[in-house]
Amino acid sequence: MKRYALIALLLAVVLTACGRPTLPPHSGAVSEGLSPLQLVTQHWLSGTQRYLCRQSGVLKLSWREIPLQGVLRIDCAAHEARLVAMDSMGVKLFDVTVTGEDMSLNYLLPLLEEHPQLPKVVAQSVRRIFLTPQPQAGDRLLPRCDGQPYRLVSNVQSGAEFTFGGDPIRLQTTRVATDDENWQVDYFNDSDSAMLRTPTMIVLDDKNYRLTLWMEAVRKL
Amino acid sequence: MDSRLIRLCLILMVFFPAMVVAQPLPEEMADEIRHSAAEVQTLSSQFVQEKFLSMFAETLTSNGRFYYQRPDQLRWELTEPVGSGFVLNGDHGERWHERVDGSEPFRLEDDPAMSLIAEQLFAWARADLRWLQEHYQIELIGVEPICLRLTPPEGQGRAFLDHLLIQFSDSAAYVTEVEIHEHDGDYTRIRFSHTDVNAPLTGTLFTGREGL
Repeated sequence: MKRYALIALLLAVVLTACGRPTLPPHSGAVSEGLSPLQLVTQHWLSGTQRYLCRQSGVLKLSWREIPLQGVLRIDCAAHEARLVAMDSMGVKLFDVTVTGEDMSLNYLLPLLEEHPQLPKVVAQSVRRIFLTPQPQAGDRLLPRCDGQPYRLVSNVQSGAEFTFGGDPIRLQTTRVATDDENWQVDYFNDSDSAMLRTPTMIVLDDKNYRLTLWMEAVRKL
Repeated sequence: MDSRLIRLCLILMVFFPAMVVAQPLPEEMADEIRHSAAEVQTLSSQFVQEKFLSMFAETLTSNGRFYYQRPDQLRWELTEPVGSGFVLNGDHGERWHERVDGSEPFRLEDDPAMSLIAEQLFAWARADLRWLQEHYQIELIGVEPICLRLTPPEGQGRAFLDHLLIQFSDSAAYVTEVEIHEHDGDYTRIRFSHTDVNAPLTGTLFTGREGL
């Protein structure tokens, strides 16, 4: 079980910065003439729905890649997510509830108790990817030319910007750049999941790590 | 015992004759398992791994395959929904994951996690009762087929493991089902099927990711 301790240790130490490898291109076609309200209301996390997502993922550090899997329940109305993370043998590593401002640890594999950084880092990633910041109808739409993606500047969180593109229109990128934070999430759709408009692959780039998630299955609750 | 309980016991005896009240594993049954398992040189099997998460009332199903060659070669591979696996070959091995290029070699003496997993898998594959009796309190809970309940002693694996259920084949030579129960009601069930006993296996199976 020292492997888990190693994972936590790897996350805990200060890591050298990862480069930002090239990501696959986002879909190019864009519907024209949309308002911020129209952009936001088509976003899959904008309503009051609850989702259950089965995910696999890879946490890429500067010298090692760590595979993970998990089940995530997202409650859009409550702005809350609960994640159970497991290793590939099905061993439950931890169970966290994440809100926009806080996290609570419901379970931690006893052998990981000395290294609570692992769930904290993963909880932070869940928050950034699924909870906050989220685009709002009151955000400021930047000027654009026809065919270009839409860019919304958050009126809620300083330094946050959202890019919408594709047809049907979807959130493609969330970027936060402040003195304290500098990270970006890219959402990709490699299949037509128009029923739910959910991304099929998500990439979070932080200066210290890259987390890539594949949404293996998503269903409404 | 009141009459309702007696009636319940009679009903259970009629409809579930193979079930027994949990009791220590009789020595003659232990001998039967040891004798049958000793004949096994190789195993190859498919398996279905079901992880039940009580909090979400959700069962996550994965499929995989498993190969074992006495005394200490093993390949454990999940094929769906996401491929991952490892091989063990004596005191070393390598593991891989579909989302990660290449594979990662390891030595058991340097990797306590893999060492722990290897111990468990080899104990099940060999039906190694001596090892199991050293590490668990064993109770017999079924006889046709043999089904055992394994409880770790306080202070050891008990911290995250409540108990295991292990079901043997009719011949008692190999394990057909394992359930790993956690304290909070979550459990993992691994059901083996299409098991071949003592079929020849190619050596490359145990050399690494590409060995299949």
